[in-house]
Amino acid sequence: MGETNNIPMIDSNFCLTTFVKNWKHCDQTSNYLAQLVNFSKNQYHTRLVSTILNEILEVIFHYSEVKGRLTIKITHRDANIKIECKIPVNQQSQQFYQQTFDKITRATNDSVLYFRELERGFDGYLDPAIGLYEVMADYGVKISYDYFAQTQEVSLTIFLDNE
Amino acid sequence: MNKTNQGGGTVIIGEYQKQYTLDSSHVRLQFFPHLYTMNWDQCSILADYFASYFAICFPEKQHKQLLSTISYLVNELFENVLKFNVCGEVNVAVTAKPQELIFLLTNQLEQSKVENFSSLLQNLISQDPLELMMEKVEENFADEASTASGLGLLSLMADYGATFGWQFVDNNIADTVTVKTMARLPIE
Repeated sequence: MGETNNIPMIDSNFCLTTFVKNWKHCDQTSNYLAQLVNFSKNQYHTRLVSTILNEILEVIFHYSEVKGRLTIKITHRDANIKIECKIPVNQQSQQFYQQTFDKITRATNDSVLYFRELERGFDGYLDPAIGLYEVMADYGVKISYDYFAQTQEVSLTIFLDNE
Repeated sequence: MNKTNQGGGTVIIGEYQKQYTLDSSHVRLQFFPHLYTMNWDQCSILADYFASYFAICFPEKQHKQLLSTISYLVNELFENVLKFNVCGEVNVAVTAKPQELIFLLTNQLEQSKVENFSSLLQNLISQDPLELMMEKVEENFADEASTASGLGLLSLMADYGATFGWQFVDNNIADTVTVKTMARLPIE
């Protein structure tokens, strides 16, 4: 999806110190943004956007000691939606994102990855990114990852085909 | 008087605190109504979102009151911003302080409408809000065709102690002016 042809829907920006004051902010924010982008009145995709954003926000919440500003930019081209999250990181959270996406890259199948991590959860360690594995496995969502050392941010980009 | 010319094509009306900016806010949302059409429904959805987001930043006993007050205030301001925006982006930002919430909204207004709009705003803030609200209600009662405006803002001032300020910034290039609307809501 070429950046130049994308039409912006919303550019949002959150102070993380305030965001992590309450867990409900994840649910409220994901629901709000999903309602805003529901331009095709497709309930399935509204739920999908809400679910994906909620999982990402809950991961961000997990590393609540990180300061800075989270940005979520949503654009569309025709029926395709692109969600870009830029997340401030410290060394620990950057390692977490890196390891998460290393796992995703290595996995031959999103469902296998999800169920393997779910089983590890039963054994006592639940990966904080389990929600991301779940949306990838259940909805076939692809998430791309990038790290910007200069600004100490990671970006997660999701493309949704809203047909 | 409540109007000051700041030079460089900038005019301030009412209580506008320049230290609160879009970039320093706790949540900032930027919309693109010229590219992605927004329904009126979006005003109340946004208002309810901000209400739920910021109410829970304060003690629980205040939640119920804050939910309705913030929702009312944001809905009122965001509807105006969308109604009068002539082009370009619209911003809504909120900053939470222990004793108050600060709302900042921006839009673009046609240059030709600035004089009437600023007169209306000056009139609203230069009198007792409760008395002026009653006057406008009576005007509406006497003349059903009357479209006396500003009742929402007057109610927010009279009933909730909100204060308002506006900054008009001449854009120089296009025939438009950036209007920054600031509302401060005291939290008791």
